[in-house]
Formats: sequence, C-alpha cells, structure tokens
Amino acid sequence: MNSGLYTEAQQWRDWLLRAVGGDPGRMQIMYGVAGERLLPEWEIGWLRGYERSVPVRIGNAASEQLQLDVYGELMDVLHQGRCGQLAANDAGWQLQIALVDHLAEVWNRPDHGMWEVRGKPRHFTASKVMAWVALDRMIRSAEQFRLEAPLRRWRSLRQRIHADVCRHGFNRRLGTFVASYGSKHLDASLLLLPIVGFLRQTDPRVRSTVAAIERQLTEDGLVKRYDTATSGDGLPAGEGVFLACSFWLVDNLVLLKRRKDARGLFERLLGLRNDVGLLSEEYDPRSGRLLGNFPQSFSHIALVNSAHNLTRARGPARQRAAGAHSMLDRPAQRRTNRRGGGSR
Amino acid sequence: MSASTTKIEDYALVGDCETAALISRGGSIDWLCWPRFDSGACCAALLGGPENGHWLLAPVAAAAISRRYRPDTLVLETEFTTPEGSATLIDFMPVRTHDSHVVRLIHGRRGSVAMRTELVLRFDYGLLVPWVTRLEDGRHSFIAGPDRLVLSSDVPLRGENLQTVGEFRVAGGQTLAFVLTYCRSYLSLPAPIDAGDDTFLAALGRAVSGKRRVYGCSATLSHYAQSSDLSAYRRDSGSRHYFAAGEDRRCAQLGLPLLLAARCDLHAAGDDE
Repeated sequence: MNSGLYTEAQQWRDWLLRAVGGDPGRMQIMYGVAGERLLPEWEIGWLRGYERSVPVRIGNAASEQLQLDVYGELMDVLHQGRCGQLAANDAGWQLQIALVDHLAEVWNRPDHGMWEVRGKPRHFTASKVMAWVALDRMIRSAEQFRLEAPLRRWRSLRQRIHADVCRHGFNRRLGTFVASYGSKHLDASLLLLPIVGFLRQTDPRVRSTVAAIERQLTEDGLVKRYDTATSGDGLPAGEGVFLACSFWLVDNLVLLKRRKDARGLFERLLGLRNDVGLLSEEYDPRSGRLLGNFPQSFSHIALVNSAHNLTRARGPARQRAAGAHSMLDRPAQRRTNRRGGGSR
Repeated sequence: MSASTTKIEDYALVGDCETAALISRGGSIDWLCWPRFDSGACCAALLGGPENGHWLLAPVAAAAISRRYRPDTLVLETEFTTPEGSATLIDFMPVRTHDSHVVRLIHGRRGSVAMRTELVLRFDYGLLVPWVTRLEDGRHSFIAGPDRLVLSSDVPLRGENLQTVGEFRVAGGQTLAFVLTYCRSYLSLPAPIDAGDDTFLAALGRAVSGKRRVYGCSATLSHYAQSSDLSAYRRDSGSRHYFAAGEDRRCAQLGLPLLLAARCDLHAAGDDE
C-alpha cells in the first residue's frame, strides 16, 4: 500500500484469509503458492547441491512448527488492510476472533521463533512481542471500525503479555532485551520492538538493546540474526550476516533520527546487490559473497520498507509504530489517479 | 558455462507472476520450475550439473558480458561482446493468458557472432529424460508424463547425446527468436506463436510494462504495437532480411515481440548496420 499497490494488497489479503481459514488450531506458518497446507519435506538424492551443499530438500518441515509471531503478522496485515480501506470482508473478522481466541490459549507456550530453530522450543521474546501485536491490532481494529469484540478481555490480555515480556524478556544486568526468556543473548528480532510499536524508540530499554546489537551483533557493520555459536538452533555455527535484519537496523536508525547513519548503512546494503539489483538472504563479509536463498523476497521487502522510511516523513516503520497505515500515507500519485478514475 | 561454477549472485530472474527462471550471466537458464513456482524443476542445473537440465544460448567464443533489466520490467538484456562482434540476448516470460512461455531473442548488434544453443530438459528436478519428437510444423516437443514443452526456433536444431543443440551466426541488425512453451501433454498442442494475435500481444505488453501500469501510466507495449514503429515495420516488407532463417512468416512473427519490447533502444543509433 505504501507503494500504491492497493489492488495487489487486496489480492494478497484475500489469499491470506483463504489460506488461514478453517480450524484456528490448524493455522500454519507457511502455505503452498495457492494456499496448500501439506508441504512434506523430502530429500533429492540425485542432485549434488549448489556448491556441494547437501542435502537438497524440497518442502519445509518448519511448516508444522508453532511460531507465535505469525499471529502478530497476520493481525497486523489485516488491520493495515482495513486502515488502507481494502474492500471489507466481514467473515474475515469472525475468523480473526476465532484465531485470537486460540492465541489466548497458546501465547504462553514455548515456540520455534521466527528463525524456525529446529532445536527445543523456547519462550522467544520476539514471539511474545508479536503475540502482543496480534492483540493490539485486534483492539485497534475493533475500536477504529466499531467491530464487535470482547474488548475488556483483549485489553487485559494485551496488558498481561506486555508485562510478561518486560519482566522475562529484559535482562536487568545486561540492560537489554534478550533472545528468549532467561537467555543472556541478543537477537536481531529485537530490532522489531520499536518498529511494531511495542515500546517507543526513545525507551531506554529499547535504546540500550539497539546499541548492544550495533556493538555486539554486527560484522563489518552488518547485522547477524544471532550468535550461531551460542544459539542452539540446530545449524552449524557461523553463518553470514542477515540482510533483512540489517535493513531493520536502518529503520531503527531512522526512528532514532540518526539519518546520516541510516543512509550510510542503507547505501552499503544497496551496494551488495548483484549487477541486476537482486539480493540474497545472507551475505558473507569475509568472502564478499551472497549466501542463502536467492533472490530473497524477505530482503527485498525490507529494502523497500527502509527506502520508504528514509524518503518519507511517515514511512512504514512510523506507521506500524503508531499502529497503522493511514489514508494519509497513500502515495500522492495514486490518490490523484483515484480521484480521476473514481473507481472506488 | 557449467552451472557448478556459476555463483548465485551471477543469476538474474525472469518470470510471469506464476513461475520464474534463473538465468546465469553466461546465458544459461539453470533453474526453472513449470508451471508453478513450486512445481518440479525441468531445469535443475543450479543444484546439480548441466546434465540436470539447462538451456544455454551464448556466443561460442569467450565474451565480455554486461546485463540489465529494461527499466521497470523483468525483461532481461544480456550483452555479449566478442572479438568478432556483439549481440544482445533478451529473455522474458510474458504474463500468461493461457500457456506459459519463455521467450529468448538474440539480436545482432555488430559484426557476425557465432552462437550456440544447448537445451537439456530434465523433468522431476533433473531426473527424467523426456520423449523428444519433431512436430510437423517444425517445432520440437518434449514429453515427460503429464508435462510437455514445445520449442519454436528460428534456427535448425538437432539431437545429440540426449541434448538438443544448434550452432548459428547472428549478424548485426538480425534477430532470431526461440520460444519454449509449457502445456499439459494430454491437452491439445499450443498454437504456434502468432505475434499478430491480439492476446499474445496484450500478454507481451503486460509482461514488459506491468510496472508502469501499476504506477498509473496507461501506456503499454501492446499500445505501442499500434504506434508508428510497428506500422513502419509492417509497411517495410523489406525488413524480412532482419530474420535469418526461412519460413519468413513465422520468423517475422517471432521477431515481432522484439520490436515491441525493444522499441526504446534496440534499434538505436548505436547500431553499426
């Protein structure tokens, strides 16, 4: 919507509702291209792998994981869609209520987190934050669009999750938020706290977390997801820097009004694109090589968001931090066309 | 251009919104799942070797290479410069109306460049050797169970060691077209590409101008098809010499997308001929 693609936004929203619809306990963290749910993982024995990277896998076993952050992502998307005046879908609201009822039951369970770690489930701080986002956006939708909802129950749960994160996800001795409850380690997912509006960027706990990530979780100025040596993620230690997370740092720097630093980092990241402008998932600063999935939409979406954040007074980070996209956030050209076309 | 030596950062992507192909700097399609993003790959060299499926279209001699997307499109232009001349490879997948196509056009810019094409299709992620036949109209058909690919080519091709290969020269100003089309093997054959066909024109227009539409500019390339460039082209039947092989009509048809897509700069003053 920030790029003026309202038709595509609506099609994506409708796809999302079709995919997650049905038994709320069966919502998945990923679906097939047309919304398929069965994505069994299997190995291709006859391919030797890119640069001998084996095994070659089809499907993704992570599709069966519990990742609480998807509830926050989903409710945020649907709320943003309402604020962007995408055509209403009343059945969608009932579906959301069923999903949030389910979330109320599972939010305090350990999960695999947004990095889909294959080890033992944990109480990932960012997962709980995104559970808070789910409640927050539901409440905002209900208030703003006068939708029927058990507001009192939701407000109290939102408050409970917030307090839980601030108590267990924050390490007083280190002065920073940490990857999971009781952990001593940082995680780049914590860069989302101010971007999704969980706490303001000026909050001292957020400031110190961002500063610690800049200091300890970067390699050559670019952000790693976490320290693989201590993460227990089930993967061999030592991966590249994670490009989407590096763009999140750009967004944090914009929120902190460190525009020059933000711009410098953004331009460095642009410099990592290949000759036709494509980015992978990760980058190896030592060899100067792109790593991981390629081309990767997660990196490109983060790039587009950072570009909006750098060039507009109210980019996606400020909108999300304030709870929503607003009609005032529509690109100017699109507004003009709309008036001219009178299509809505 | 063995895939095993190509780095991931040397790939570019072309797609039709329903699937996409990864093309190396050296002009080889090394990854292509058809008909969907999550279908099995019929070109899987990226994760194996050339024998697991690839489609090379490149100069025989070593070439200096530069690439770019045509602005605001997913039309990829790979420019090869060799001691004997230079040529531009234009790769794209038109947004679908019915069938899904990979269109590859090679446009000679200067001199005469010796080229080679090498097509190895291996369905089921690089495993299955298809049943290859020659259709009456000269197209090649590749069948593996439910899947069929049909290849139209402006140059003669032959089978060799379970590959479909061809050598040819492209001269300055000349354009040669190759179109690979996916369809179900149990449904009727896709009609030969007819660039006079409005549907195909419109699809091409969308493929090349999709983004502009999004940003509110109404001009599409199918719109350009009605413009002066094309009328000039239609009037000037002498332009047949732009196309090397026989079967003038079909070649001209296949060449037409080039004129549509390339309107902005391909026949620019920089061309020597």
